[in-house]
Amino acid sequence: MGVQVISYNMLRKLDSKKKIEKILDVVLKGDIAVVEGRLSPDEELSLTAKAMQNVSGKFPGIEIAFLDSDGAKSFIEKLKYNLVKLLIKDRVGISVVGPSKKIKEIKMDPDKLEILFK
Amino acid sequence: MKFEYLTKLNLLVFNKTNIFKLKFKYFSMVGFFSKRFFNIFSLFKRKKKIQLGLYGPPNAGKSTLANRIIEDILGKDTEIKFNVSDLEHETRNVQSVEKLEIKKGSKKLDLTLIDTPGIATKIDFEDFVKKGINKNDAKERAREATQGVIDSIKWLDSVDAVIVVLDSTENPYSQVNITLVGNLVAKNKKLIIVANKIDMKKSNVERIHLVFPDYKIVPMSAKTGEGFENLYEAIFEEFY
Repeated sequence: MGVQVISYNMLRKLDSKKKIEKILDVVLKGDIAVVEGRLSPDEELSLTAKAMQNVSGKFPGIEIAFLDSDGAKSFIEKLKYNLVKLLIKDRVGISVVGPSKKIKEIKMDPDKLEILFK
Repeated sequence: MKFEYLTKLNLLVFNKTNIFKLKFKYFSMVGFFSKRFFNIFSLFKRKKKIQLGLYGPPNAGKSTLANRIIEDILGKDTEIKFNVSDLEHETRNVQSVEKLEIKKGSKKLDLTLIDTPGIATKIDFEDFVKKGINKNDAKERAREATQGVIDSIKWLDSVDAVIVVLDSTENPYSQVNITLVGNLVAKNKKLIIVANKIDMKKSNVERIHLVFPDYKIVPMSAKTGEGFENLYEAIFEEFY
């Protein structure tokens, strides 16, 4: 199993449909896609639906998680975070998508992601 | 909106085009007032119709909650009951019940309750085999469940408001939960969160508050009915 890191620059040129296809192509090959930035809520749900359409005995679906630095607690920290987000938009954080046939679970924590393999 | 009075004198000095424009304005004005009249009338009626979706991950207790609401409104003898099971993906079709009326003082809500299959990112037939289902049935169940997830996602556009049902014994910080709530917010859908299964020892409602601090959270047990009385209060507060 390999890991493919997909840059924000590559994805930003694609529309939502192509973006999802690109990520799913990687996962259907059995690799993990590490995506710079985060998909929109709508894209995340479309990715789930698309993954479901591809479910078979060999491909039971995906594990998906994201790491976002939105752990800011104080007002100033939140303000800084929102300003950064405003400037670089959906480039904040990383998303990880992998085949659930090989990944048991991705434990999400606001500060870390833990990938547990089967 | 600008109104103009129509008098015979006014009309005489206008050419045909202007008369047409004024007639159009007159009819617009009638439409304007009749709409306001019906809006005022509906204030007295104080009844609102909503399509209320029950959404959440598998096995959170959506159908159990649906059954509790239906039974509470239609009575214990009602024949309308959804299947519930400890096995995941028991609900594999979107199912609904219409004309469920709840009241609070003079306010009335006419609910169409929509129970949806749990949203998941993976469905492995082997998980069903491990739970004792034979291989062919497990494959069929997995096939239906995947279609159920797709249907749930499609229905999200049709509902007016959503009760997100979460199992309070499970970690709420999951991709499915966050994606679901994120989508509801992006689609401007009203939502409340039910922290279900508070009758269980492992229940931890505080974790749900920490992950979703901006939403109304109703701790309850759909199975035992504990905390159920707060649900209608929250529904009127958030959806009426």
